[in-house]
Order: sequence, then structure tokens, then C-alpha cells
Amino acid sequence: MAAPATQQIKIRCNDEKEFTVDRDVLERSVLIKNMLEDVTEQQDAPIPLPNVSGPVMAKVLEYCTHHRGEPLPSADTEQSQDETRKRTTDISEWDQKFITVDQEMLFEIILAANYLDIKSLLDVGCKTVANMIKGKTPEEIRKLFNIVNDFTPEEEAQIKKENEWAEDR
Amino acid sequence: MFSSKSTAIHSGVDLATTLPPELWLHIFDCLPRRDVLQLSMVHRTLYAYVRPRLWQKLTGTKNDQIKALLRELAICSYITDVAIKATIPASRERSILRWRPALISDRSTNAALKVLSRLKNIQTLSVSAWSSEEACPALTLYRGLWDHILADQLRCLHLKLGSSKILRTFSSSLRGSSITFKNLDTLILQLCACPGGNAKYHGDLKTITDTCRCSVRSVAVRLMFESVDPYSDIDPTQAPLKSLGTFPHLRHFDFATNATRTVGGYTEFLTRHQSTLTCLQTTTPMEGLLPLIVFNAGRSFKPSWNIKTLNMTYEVREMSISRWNPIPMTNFTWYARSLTTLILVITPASTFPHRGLEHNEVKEIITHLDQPPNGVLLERLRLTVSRVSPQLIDLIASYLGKLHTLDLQYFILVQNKDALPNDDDESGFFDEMKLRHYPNWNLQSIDMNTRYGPNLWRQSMPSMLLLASCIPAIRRYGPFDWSDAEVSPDSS
Repeated sequence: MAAPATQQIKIRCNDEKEFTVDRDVLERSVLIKNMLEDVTEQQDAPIPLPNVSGPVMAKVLEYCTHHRGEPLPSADTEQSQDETRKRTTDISEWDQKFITVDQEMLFEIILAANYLDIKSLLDVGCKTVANMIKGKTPEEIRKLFNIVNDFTPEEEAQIKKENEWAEDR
Repeated sequence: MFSSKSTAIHSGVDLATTLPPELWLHIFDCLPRRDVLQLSMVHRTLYAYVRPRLWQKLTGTKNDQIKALLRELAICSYITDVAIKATIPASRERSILRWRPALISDRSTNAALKVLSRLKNIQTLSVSAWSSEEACPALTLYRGLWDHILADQLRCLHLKLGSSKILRTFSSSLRGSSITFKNLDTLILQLCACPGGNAKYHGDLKTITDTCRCSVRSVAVRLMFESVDPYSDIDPTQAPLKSLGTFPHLRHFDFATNATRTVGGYTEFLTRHQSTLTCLQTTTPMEGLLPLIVFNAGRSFKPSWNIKTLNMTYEVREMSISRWNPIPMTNFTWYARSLTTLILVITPASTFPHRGLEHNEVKEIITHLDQPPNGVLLERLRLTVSRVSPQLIDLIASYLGKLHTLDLQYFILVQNKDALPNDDDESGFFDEMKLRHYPNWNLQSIDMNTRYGPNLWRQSMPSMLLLASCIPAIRRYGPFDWSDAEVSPDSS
């Protein structure tokens, strides 16, 4: 177990930026983990990650390095934890600090976590967005995320009525 | 709460179009329903994501409301899960049982059927009727039901039938309609019956299985008898299992009953299905059914069925042992080979007599697990404990040293103060000094749930937190479920 932990892996982002990272850090990404398992011989060529840019990857690696060594959620525990995960939007202190970034970066991180299949990071990102949304009116949400209202007043009234039905269910 | 933070974020991104739908679904999961509704009013794209999710289930609402709902909104196509319930009109009895308003009652069966006829995408149908008085409205309902449901579309049928009479009503409606569920995958049957009625409901169950026999791959049965005589030679599960035993493609079988003798029916059933079954669960859902099993308190059980003698290749992965669900020690070593999860319910007789294992029984189990050369290394040990003795803690703790996951359900349920054991037992699991003696614990995660009697939560909270802080290797603990605590402050 000790030997592969020190193995260094090279990755290349879509802006040609390259990183050399410990294998166990990278393996927090299920996508990369599976890639590495498929490759039997050690390769010098960097793994191309066409959907992630350098600055975003740097952030993702910061997360993976901090959480290295923690057990990955297995398929079995996933199900039982799912319920609790859904109900809570708590984020640990370190994660909270880590994810305090501008909106563009936040979404880039969420997209990257989704692409790289890092479930815990995806969770942190989505919970952060959820926390931003919580308790806000539609107008406030639009303002927050720079969304243009594309409903007609009639449609708005109709949805409001629908939602009254939906609320007490 | 986050308003200050949001002003700090300068560059607005058009979130609605940036994130793909599957990530939005992830975010919805983290939000209360109210906020999801607010989101749907933000943008057309979001509205389109939210709407189908909001209206998947149709249950527990009054008929006139539902009719208006369907008239005004075009949501019929989203509804895939429907729960219908036959009830008698509001009465004293009903208010005592706190039944929720139901879609169906005898006064409004026709209206309800009209509603159902508009729903063309029903995949999961849950049918319930609990008391025999409801047989009358239920019959009208079930007769109409099969004219309005698209039977080929149905994937899951969930029946909650509270008496043999209701079961008879349901099965005769099926016989009358000659309907078949060609594509039904899952059959869930919760049946309450009287054990003497064996012969009576054998045929009724068979009618149900005949309608869906060829396609069903998963069956879950909760067979609860109103009273069980542990000394009777009659095995009340034999006939039902025989009627249920005709699925040629059965892969998952989950069976629970409060009947104490499940020898004949169960063995025969397993033998017949051994070539197709991939997952077998036999559990006793004691949590929700305590009132039904109290009758068994203090009686001795005779669990004589034994998978081993069937010469099958099943591996028992998860096992729950309690007073209610005992496992004979002679078989335990055999079961234990493949165990990954073990649930032990430990409560001394003075606290909760019909439920937990006695200390000497726990000792025997742990000793079995810990047997050389390697013992059984569980992935998860769940302990539901209340008031354990120091000796037992020592024993369990020595075994815990090898485990990675402890799932601790610590609950105190004391209805009567006189039932409290003496103060020496109070320390239990949460004694700081004791915990410090086990620095070698390798626990990486710990889940704790508490269930408290009134007024006891304040007293126990500090020790819960202490436990978490005392084990250095722990990386995660939770969830603490304080919801009970919040709604019941100790002011009573």
C-alpha cells in the first residue's frame, strides 16, 4: 500500500496547464481513479482533462489534498447516508472557507466536481448554492445570480397559484 | 443569513442556464420544498426542472381539492405514484386514529375514480384499507379501480390490507375484472390477519399472485398476525407462503412476520426459489409494530428453521438480533462467516422486557464473533443500547477495537421512573473515564441516533458529545437527531 501512495501522476488541463500530483490525492476523483486502474504500465504522458481549466483544477487539488486519506463513500454507505445528506446543508468549517469564492469559480468547481466525479466536493458546492438560495424570494434569487425574468405577468400569477397548491402537500 | 456574503459576490453568472439539469436536481435535494417552489418562479428553465418533481406523488389530499387541481393545472402526466385509501366517513374512531384525509371515501368513490381515470402514467399504486368496516367502501373502489388503471403500465403494487375481510374484498375485485399486471416488477404486501384464517386467505393471496406471476422479480411481505400462540403447532405462514411461492423469476425476497413458527412454509419457499433468488432478507420490523408483538413478551421462542440444512449457497450479510428476533447460537457461527453488518439490541429486562437481549446473551454473541484465529470482522456494528453494565462495555469495547464503523443507537425509553436501574448502571457507554481506556479504537466513523423519553435529553446530551470527543480516531460522527428534543422541552 505504501509504494503507490508516493507515485506521482501528471495531468494536463484544457489551458495546457500541467500539474504533478500524488496518486492518492488524485484518486479522490473517481474518474481519474478509474482511468489509472485501466492503465497498467506507468506512463509519462500527462492525463488530459479537457473539461477543466488550470485555476479550477488548482482549487480542486487543494480540496483533494486536504481530504486525502479519508475513506471514499462506498456504494453501500451511499444509500443510507443519502437521506441525511439531503436534509442537511451543514458544511464543515474548512470546506466553508474553501468554497468562499466568487460565483463563477463556485460554478466551475461544481461542474468540475461533477465531471471528475468527486462526490463530496459536489455536495459541498451544491449545498453552498442551496444555502445562498434558502429563504430568498424569486426576485432576490434573480438578482443574486443575474437571471433575467422571462415570465409574463400572467404566467407568474399562474405559477403562484400552482405553488399554493403545492405548498400544503 | 447569507445576505452579507451574497453582496460580496460580484460577478453574476446566469445560473439557470450554466448548470445542467442533473446538478439542479442535486441542489433541489438540499433545499426545503418551500425554497424549491420559490426557485420555480425565477426562470422558465428552472420551472421546467421543478414542476415534474413536485407532482410525482398524489396522496392524502381531499377529492374535491384534487379534482380542482387536475382541472386547473396540466399535471396529470407527471403523476406516477398514487396512494389510495378506503376509509369510512369521519367518526370518533377515525379521529382517535388520526387518519389523514384520504383520496377515497365511500361518499366520493366515483369522484376519485374520475380522478384516477385522468392519470395515464401511474407506475406505483399503493392501496390501503385497514379495518374491516372499510370493506364496503373498498369494494366499490376496487371494482372501479381496475377499469381506470392502465394495468400494463404498473410497475409496483403496494397493498396494505388490515384484515382478511379486506383482503377478500381486494382479491374478489381482481377475480371479477380478470385483469393482469403484465409488467409488474415489485409486489409489496402488508397484511394483518388472524392466524386461524389460514385456509380462508390462501386462495385470496393466490388470486393476487396469479395476476402478476410472470413478471414479478421483487416481493416484500409483512405478515402480521393479531395474536400468535407460540405453543401452537399450526404454522400460520405456511399457507400464505405457498400462495406467494409461484413466481418463476423471483430475485429479491424480503419476508417478515411476527409468527413464531415459520418452519414449513419458509423452507419450502426457499427450496423452490433457490435457483433464481439473489437477495434474501428476513427481518422483523419491530420498530413500527411494537403493539403487535408485545403479546410475545417473556415467552420462549422456538426458531427451528435453519437455512443451513437447505444446503444453499446463501450468505447472510446483515443480521439483527434481539429478544424478538433471536438466533440460536448453534447456527450463529455458520451465519457469522459472511456477516458484514450486525445489529444488536441490548436492553436489560428491567428497562424494556420484550425487546432487548440480556447481557449474557450479548456476551455469547461477542465471544463468538471474537473467536480465534481471526474472528468475524464486521463492516458495521449497530448497537441499540440502554443501560449496559460496565462488564459488558469492557467486552464490547475490546471487540470494537477492531472495527471501523460503529453505529450507535442510544436510546432511553423509560415510561416509569421506578423502572430505572440503580445509579451504578447509569454511566453506560458515555463514561468519559471508561472511554479513555480504549485509545486503540480504530473507529473512523460513528453514527449516533438518540431516542429519548420525555425530559431525558438534556441530561444525556453532554455525554453524547463527550463520547464523540473521546475517541481520537473518529473522523466523522453524526447525525445527531435533535428534532425530538426541540419539540419536547422538559416543561411537562
